[in-house]
Order: sequence, then C-alpha cells, then structure tokens
Amino acid sequence: MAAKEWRKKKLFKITYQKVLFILLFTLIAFFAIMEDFILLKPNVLFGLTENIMEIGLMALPMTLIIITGGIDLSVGTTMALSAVVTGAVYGATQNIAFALFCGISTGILCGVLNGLIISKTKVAPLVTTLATMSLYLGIAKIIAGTKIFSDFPDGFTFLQTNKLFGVVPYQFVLFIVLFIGFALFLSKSTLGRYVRGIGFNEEAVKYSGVKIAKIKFFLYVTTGLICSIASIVYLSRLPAAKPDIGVNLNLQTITAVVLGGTSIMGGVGSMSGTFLGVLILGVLRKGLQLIGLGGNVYSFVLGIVLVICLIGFSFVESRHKKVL
Amino acid sequence: MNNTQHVLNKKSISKKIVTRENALGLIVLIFFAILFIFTNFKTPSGITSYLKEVAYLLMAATALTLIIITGNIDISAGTLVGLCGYAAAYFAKMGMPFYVYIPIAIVTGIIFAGINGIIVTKFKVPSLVTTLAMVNIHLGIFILLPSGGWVEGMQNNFTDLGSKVFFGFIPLIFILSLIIFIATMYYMKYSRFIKKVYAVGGNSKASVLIGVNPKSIVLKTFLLEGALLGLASIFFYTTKNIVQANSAFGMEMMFITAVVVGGTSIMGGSGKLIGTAFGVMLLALITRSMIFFGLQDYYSYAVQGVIIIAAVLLTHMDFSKVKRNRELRAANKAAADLGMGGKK
Repeated sequence: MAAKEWRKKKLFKITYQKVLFILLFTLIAFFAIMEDFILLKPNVLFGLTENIMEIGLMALPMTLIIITGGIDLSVGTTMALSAVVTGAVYGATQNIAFALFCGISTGILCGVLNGLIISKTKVAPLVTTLATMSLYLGIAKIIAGTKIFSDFPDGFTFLQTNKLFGVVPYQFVLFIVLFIGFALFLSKSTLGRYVRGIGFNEEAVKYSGVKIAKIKFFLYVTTGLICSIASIVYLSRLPAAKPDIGVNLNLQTITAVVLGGTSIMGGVGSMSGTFLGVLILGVLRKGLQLIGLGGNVYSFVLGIVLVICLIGFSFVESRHKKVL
Repeated sequence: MNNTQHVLNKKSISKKIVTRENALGLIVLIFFAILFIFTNFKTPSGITSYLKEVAYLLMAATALTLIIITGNIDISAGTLVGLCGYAAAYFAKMGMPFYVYIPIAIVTGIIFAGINGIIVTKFKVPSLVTTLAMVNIHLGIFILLPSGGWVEGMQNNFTDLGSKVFFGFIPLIFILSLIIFIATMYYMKYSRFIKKVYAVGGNSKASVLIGVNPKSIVLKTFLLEGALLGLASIFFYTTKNIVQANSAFGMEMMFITAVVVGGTSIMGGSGKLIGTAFGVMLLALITRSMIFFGLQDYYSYAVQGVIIIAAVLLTHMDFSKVKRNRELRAANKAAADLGMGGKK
C-alpha cells in the first residue's frame, strides 16, 4: 500500500526532466500551429535534427565532463581543426581513408593534450581549455590560411541526400546509438559511478582508491575522439572545411548540456536530459526558420529559454531539498 | 634574538621579490626588450597603438579580476562592452558631449551586469551558465537594435577622446585608464569591501560566519564590474569611426585570459590587480608583435594559446620540492662541516 502510494507520488512529482519534456512538446505544438502543421510532416520533423547533430554528438561526452565538475571550451575548435586536417590531407594525397585517419588522430591528440594538462597538473579545466581553444583555432588557421577545403570524393557527401527510410537522417541514427552507449556508461558502469562521484566529492572518491587522473584523462580523450567524428558528420553534410566552423559551437554545446539539467557545479546530470536539450535546440532553430526568423533571433530566444530553464531548475531543486 | 629577527626579515624580503606577479613582469620586460631591439616598435605610432589597446583591455580585465576573485565568471563581458559602446555612440551621434555619453555607457553596463548579478545571487544559478545565456540574449539584442547595432560616421565629439595624444605618443584614454586602474588598486589595498570580496571568494560559507553577506557582496561586485566595462567600451570604441556592437563579441576570452595569466585563481579567493596589469601588457604585446615581426594575424591565436599554457603552468608549478631538496643539501653540508656526518 505504502509502496503503491509512494510510486503514485513519484509519478506526479514535478521533476526538471518532466518539465523539459513538456517544454519540448509545447514548442513543437506552437511551431506546428504557427505554420500550418508543416512541422508535423515526418520529413520535416526528423529534419530538425539534421543541422544540430554535431552539437548533439559533442554534447554527449561534454555531459560526462560537466558531471565531473570540469568543462571543455575547446570542443568546437577541436572539431574545426580535425575537419581542416582531413580536408588538407585529402587535398594532398587524394586518399580518403588516410585523410579520415589523420582527422580522427588529430581529434584524439587534441583530447590527449587537454587531458594531460588537466589530469597531471592542477590547472583548472576552464583555463586549460580556454588556452587550447585558441591554440587549436590558431593551428587550424595556420594550416588552412585563407583556403577552404571543399574537394571531397563523391561517396563522402552521402549525408547530404541519403536518409534512412527516406526520412530519418543517418547522423540522427548515429547520435541515438552513441547516446544509448553513453547513457548505459553513465548509469550502469562502475566507471560511470566514479564519474558522478568525482563531481559530488572528488576527495572522497580519491580516498576510496580510485585513480581520478586516469578517469579524467580518459574523458577528455573521448571528447577529442567524438569531436573528430562530429567533424566527419559536418563535412559529409557540408563539404567545406575552414577554421572558423567551430567557433560558435563551444557555447552551443554547453548550452545543450546545461539546458538538459546537468549542473555546472558537477555531480548532477543525466544523458536523457542532454538528449532533450539537444532536441529543444533543434526545434527552436528549425521552428524559427519556418516562421521566417533566423540567425540572432534564434540565439536571443535560446538565451531567454536557457535563463528560464536555469531559474526553474534551481527552483525545482530547492523544493526537493525542502521536502527532504 | 636579534639574529633570528634578521633572518626572518631577510626571508620575507626574498619572498616579496620572488612572486609570480614579478616573474610575469620580467617576462613582459624581456618581451619589450626583444621588440625594441629587433623591430620598429619604438616608433611613436607603434607605441601609441599599443597603449590604446592596453587602455581598454586594462579596464575590462580589472573588472573581470574582481568578478573572478569572488569565484564567479562573466562570459558576457565582451557582448556587454558592445552594448555599452552602442548606447554611448547612439547618444554621441545625437551631438551629446562626453559628460553625457560616458555616464550613459556606465549606466548601461551597470544595468546589464546587475541583471547577471541578480540571477546569480537571487536564483542561485551558477554564473558560468547565467552569463552563457546572457551572451545569446545580448547577441539577439544587437539584431533588434536600429540598423543592426551599427552606428556609422562618428563625429568629433566622440572620436576626439580616442585620438587625442599627449607628448606625441601617450594617448589620453591610456592616461584615464591608468588613473582609474591605480585608483582601483589603491582601493583594493585599503577598502573593507575588497577584503569581503576575497573572503567570499575564498570560502563563502566561512564568510557568512564572520558576518559577511555573500549575496550582497557578489551583487555589488557585478555592479562595479558593469561600471568598469562601460568605461572599457568608451576606451575601445572612441578610437573607431564606426561603432559596431558585435565587434566586441569574443573579446571576453581575451579578458579572462589576461586575468588568468596574471595569476588570479579561477576558483576565486586569490589574485592581484598588478598581475592582471602584466597579463594585459603581455597579451597586447603578443598581438602587436605578430604585426611587427611580419607574421600573419592568424599566428597570434596559436601563440596566444601556447603562451597562456606556459604562463599558467609556470605560475602553478610547485617549487616546494626543489626548495626542500636545496634545503636538505644545505643542511647536510652544514652537518658535514661540523663533523657530524649528514644523512643522505
């Protein structure tokens, strides 16, 4: 009896995730009504995710990093650097497999540098990645100069036109697969437990015999790897590699994660929240485009939504604390 | 007694000289020397353009030093400078004199920084994400502004401030910036408010126990930051004919870099303004030196990144091990001299 009542209470308890879920559907309904239900066509509805998936992919490891209490500002420029390297190597050798290999190794190396500095020294992640952000941007600019690498083989750009069953973009499928992987990692694996533990209380985890430096290093290298995968997705969708493609993506990736209810102070957060955050970003962007507003109106609305969500999040959290 | 006193004094003097701020100052000095010897940096125009860059960076970095000492951060500083500059330029274009548009820039800064401060303190949202959201909102405001946030063809009442130069090479805005900086530094040394700021940044919970209200201190710091950013916007935009609000977007990273290179801990509670000043000088020198060594502009990003890493690693380096070894060796030597046989 008690358990049943408790379960019922839990079902109707206001959590941040439920609010986010409702927000997502309200936004979809709003934009659908505004524009003659164009948005509800499966083609358009899944097309929402098409342009946002680089952010989505990079948001997954970013969630882990933010849960540990760190942050990575260099994701966008890592992606740009690995895209530029891929383009430059393909331009020089005309060998796409080798070019992709170089691009992915670049991403991993960027992650290794971040991870080494953050795990081996006491320099704060914010400062480290602030420095590497401009470092990677600079290297990309030195490699590319004023050139734009847009020469890629025919098969490479298949994300532009091909879709699963003609509706679902393949990058969304990739995102879902990686999302499931990361979600299982965070909630089911021992390492995922440690990641959350580091965010809650780093000292306590350290004294229980966990090698924190190794875990942090691993997380930043994973981020580098995922960034290079995101760069491939980007190039396949839009084959033009230039250094400044990733400049705005840092903040947008963090926005998606934070919108999903991951606390920037560490310890609190979930992959499903990030998933919802990414989708809200996509709906806002596409919806505003459909109404005929784009560009900076999108960032304005996004900013307002983010502020409201953050205030709501702290409100819901403080209520829970009072109940407890 | 007298002897120990002497030793203690000697130790404290050496401690005072070998600080990370002075180490950074030395690096800046070496940089200056290299530029003076190998390039034509020493021409009046070279120095003037350098000092103009230092002027606005110094103000903005001072503002961010205060914020970072409280343990917060402001990513929206760049776009906020843009907003203040636009407000000032809008009124200057209508023919208002400087004693009208400078206060307008300062008030704009205070209002928008105040919004940040209220969200951070009243709603307990971490400052990193609050100001992240604010960057987006400011960028949206730029588009909603008349003519997309551009004010073209600024008149003399605005540009005179930026172009006035004393003794052939010292710009007026640099002198103003330096006066405000020194005033702030003096204030930081002696005011009670700043002691509270350090207390809140060092340990917020402990500061409550000694009777400090962290919320009000953080809010006041944000307001002060807004005022300083308003001044920075004046120093930045009066050197230009066209005021373009979004041209300041992205500068926040440079401000934060200057503060961090200057040795202020990003976790809050420690840091000195003099270090920030050296950080600003170093950063401005890097961008200048790219030009004087004839390298393309895009090299400066990479060099900037490397120098931040190097500077931060140097300031974070743990010298205690080296020092302990040296002391141990000295003790061994002393023991050997006395014929007691030192331990290895």
